[in-house]
Amino acid sequence: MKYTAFAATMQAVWFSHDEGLSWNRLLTPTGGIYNEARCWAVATHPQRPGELLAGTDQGLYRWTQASGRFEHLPSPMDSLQILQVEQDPHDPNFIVCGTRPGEIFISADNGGSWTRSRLNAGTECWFINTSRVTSIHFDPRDRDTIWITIEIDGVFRSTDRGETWERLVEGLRDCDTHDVVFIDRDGERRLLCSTEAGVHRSEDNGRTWSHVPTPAAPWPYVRSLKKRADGEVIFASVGDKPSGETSMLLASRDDGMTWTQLPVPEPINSTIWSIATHPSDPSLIFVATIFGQIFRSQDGGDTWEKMQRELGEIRMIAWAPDANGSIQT
Amino acid sequence: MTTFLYKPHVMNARKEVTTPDIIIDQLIIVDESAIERLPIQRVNSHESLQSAFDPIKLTPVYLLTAVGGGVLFGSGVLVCGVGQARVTADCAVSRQAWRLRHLADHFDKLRLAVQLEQSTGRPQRVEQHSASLPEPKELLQRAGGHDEDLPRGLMLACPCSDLTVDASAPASCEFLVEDTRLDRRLKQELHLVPADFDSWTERPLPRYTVGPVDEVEHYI
Repeated sequence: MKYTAFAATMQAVWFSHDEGLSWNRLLTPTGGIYNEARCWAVATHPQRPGELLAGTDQGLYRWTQASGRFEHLPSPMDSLQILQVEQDPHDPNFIVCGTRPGEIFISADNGGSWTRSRLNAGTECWFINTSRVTSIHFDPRDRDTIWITIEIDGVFRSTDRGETWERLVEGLRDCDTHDVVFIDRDGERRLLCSTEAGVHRSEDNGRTWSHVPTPAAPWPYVRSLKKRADGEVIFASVGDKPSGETSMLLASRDDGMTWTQLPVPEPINSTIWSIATHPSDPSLIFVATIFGQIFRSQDGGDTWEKMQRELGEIRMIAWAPDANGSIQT
Repeated sequence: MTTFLYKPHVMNARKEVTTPDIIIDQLIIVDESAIERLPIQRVNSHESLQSAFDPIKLTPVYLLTAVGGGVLFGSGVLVCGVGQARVTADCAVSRQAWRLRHLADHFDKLRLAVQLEQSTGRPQRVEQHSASLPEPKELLQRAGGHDEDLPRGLMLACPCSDLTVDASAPASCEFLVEDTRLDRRLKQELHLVPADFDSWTERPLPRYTVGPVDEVEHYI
């Protein structure tokens, strides 16, 4: 399977066409995006192979393999920082973007038009001045439900496709929330949420949360949570602090009840900020630290190797199979 | 949908500065006699404006924005042609602001002044004490707020009518607000130039530059 890996960095989007060994950006004159645009989010969709959405400080962009370049999608987010981009798993035309300031913008027509959601996230935050959206998730069980995490304002859920939102923070030790995974098994649901104060679990669809001890981790700062594509393992990245100076990757094989450390080669230079999986191959996983290191596993997370090339500040990493045809960059 | 991204440098009573980014989608001009909504695309943080009108009316305003941690108090200037409706004005918003809790405790201690310099005529200075302005709490309530709270996304512009001056561009206007209780000041400078003003004595043609024409072996 030929695939492309993508890294959202503070110097635009980087592409790897050789399984993470080498990375390049598109050239500014032909790439369709200023190659030092700050990029926080990249999103792919299984129904749109060869296509990538990128959230930046210059607006939302779409890259296509066929054109080999980015196209700017005009939106009310042009003056904002687009930190998260997600497409409905069932309908790639339905796009949800999260920004700083913490707002949600939704398009139902593949980016042609946008509405600003009535999200009452914290307007101001003492520690980081302005709240920001840290993750967006479409509920795997209910097509009308969308979940978001906001730094520093907790977990929000919409049950009407993003029109209105409910804040769900009871029991969270800290409202600096980063990510959510859904465990739906045998008719039962469990949610896990990563926060600055560790992993939290909910058994009542987010209404209440309880802290999950993770003795394998010496620090409480949990950044990214990701289920392996086959659902058998949940990964969690833990850092000594935000940005941080070191990190570890944990795995749980019992739906988040216990965690073990994975053998990611050291030294790890900062918090592992992003974990990339794809439904087409559960064995292939990329993780990236915020300060540019990239690690790859080709056996579902049992073993890891560090990619030689390091990038600048990486905010998100992703990979997706190529569409049929050659790559243009 | 149009918004104004307000990026104030906010000073609190301890002189600490924070820099929240706040989305404003409604600007309401409110005084004792009227409430008007200014189209939000006319709101900006420019330090210089071009004017197609002569003369122009400059109306300093104090700005109130609620962000959750105490009201933000800032300054702005409404700029419109003399005789034009106020809702056709541009509103130049300063990026300096104070965070105030208990607005009423500060409001009676403010000294406001406008200094206008223009190429024709002598400099003008007009002063006003906040005691002669309507109580902000009343204006807040008229605009849909409660006490010192405003719904998110709203910015109130409260005209300091005694400080209104007419000017002909080019002109420079300095709007000064002094808090005598906390010994601090907000200073906003706004420069006004005629729309046909050209700062280039001889305007050059743009040049197209190419950069490397050979293949670059190692591109960053």
